[in-house]
Amino acid sequence: MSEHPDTGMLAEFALDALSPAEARAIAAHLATCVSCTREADAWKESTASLALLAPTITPPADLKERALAKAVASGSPRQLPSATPVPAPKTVPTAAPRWLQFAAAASLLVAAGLGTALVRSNTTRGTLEERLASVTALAEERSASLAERDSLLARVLGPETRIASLAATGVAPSVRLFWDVQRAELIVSARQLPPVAEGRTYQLWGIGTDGVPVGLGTFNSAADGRAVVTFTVNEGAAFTVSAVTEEPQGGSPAPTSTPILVGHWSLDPIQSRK
Amino acid sequence: MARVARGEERALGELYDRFGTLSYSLAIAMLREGADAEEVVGDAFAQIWRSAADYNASRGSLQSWVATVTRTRALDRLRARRRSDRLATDDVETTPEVTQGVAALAAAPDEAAESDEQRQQVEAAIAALTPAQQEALRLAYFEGLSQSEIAERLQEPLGTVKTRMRAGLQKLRAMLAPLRERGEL
Repeated sequence: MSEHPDTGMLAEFALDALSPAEARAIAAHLATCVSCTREADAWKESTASLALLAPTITPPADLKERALAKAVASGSPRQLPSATPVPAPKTVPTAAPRWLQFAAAASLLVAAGLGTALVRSNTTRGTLEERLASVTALAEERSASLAERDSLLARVLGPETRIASLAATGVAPSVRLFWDVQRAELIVSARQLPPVAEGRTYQLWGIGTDGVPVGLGTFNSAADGRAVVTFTVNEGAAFTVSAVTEEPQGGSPAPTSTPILVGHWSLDPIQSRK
Repeated sequence: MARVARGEERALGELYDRFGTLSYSLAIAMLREGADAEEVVGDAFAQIWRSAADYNASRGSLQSWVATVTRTRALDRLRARRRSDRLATDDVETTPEVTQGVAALAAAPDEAAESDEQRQQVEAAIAALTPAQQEALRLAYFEGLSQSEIAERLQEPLGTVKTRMRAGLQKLRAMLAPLRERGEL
């Protein structure tokens, strides 16, 4: 589009109400035309205020953390060409302006090739180092907790992992078991399982074709009814059924009570995936 | 924004504190569903994070920028959803539902907005438009419909919709201009 589009068309462009072909033509024109870009910007401001008509809904409390994590994981901020001074936006917190004025002045000087020393002043470097340290600490903390989660996930989703769901008669509590045969590890994930009294414990059993229960480990759930524990299973073990009983602290060599939860193991890892 | 562009996570957090609710509310208004809206807020802040250096205060307010980025991400989802609806079924049901939704939006005098002066001013500006102009703008902004789609939805000639929309936008801009010059928007 070589001639200027009329302002109504720019308004429709700002609202994304044009057909894709029309929108492309306008975008191409704006790339070369300052006055139309200014006009389109004004329209964008007006149309963006329509967002305020959306009824206010408070986001879930944890959305901030999730949105920020997603943002940071998506990559690093693209940088401006280095010598461009950053204009102080009107949105900076009120405590900052003096520092920002200084920084803006400093970067202008740098642009003019004059005052490199100013930027390297101790105050600025101190602030930057502090920031770097806090970002590094945060990154390390994140990567540690991610690594932990990854290893748990790998075991739960591994190609050699078999699954069993142990259920009481139809209702909560429920326990899911993930048995990574290759690593000989078994993860127990319980929900809505009331914690047992002091001096007592839950014990997980594996039962093979010989019908003899083998104790796999003891655990208790937290006050919220959840438990996630990992047990080691003897290599070569072959269980068809697992069960949970309540036992005295420390567990028993053989079950001393009726199982609370019972379930069958999936025959092979593939079948366990729905 | 300069701090966000330099990779300061805390600055992005502050930006979320200021505009997270607006972003989420807009995403909900457009997608009518919490899980998708949460994804959109995440996508929007990811885009803001990566392209903060592109923000130019002389070209528009920060609030408008956050709203525009959110809306664009929500439109992506809305349009993808519509495409798959079209493929899966002839989705006849959306029409009354969406019209109702728009009507509800138009009618909803929400409490938070009443306490918010800026919002009131935009609402006042919108209220000054004719109902037909309002409807066209809402369909375009919140549903992301093109003019021909709006014409089809409302069973009106395209020219009528175009005229209405332009007149509505003109009036809106004229009413909001003084506020903007005073730096209130």
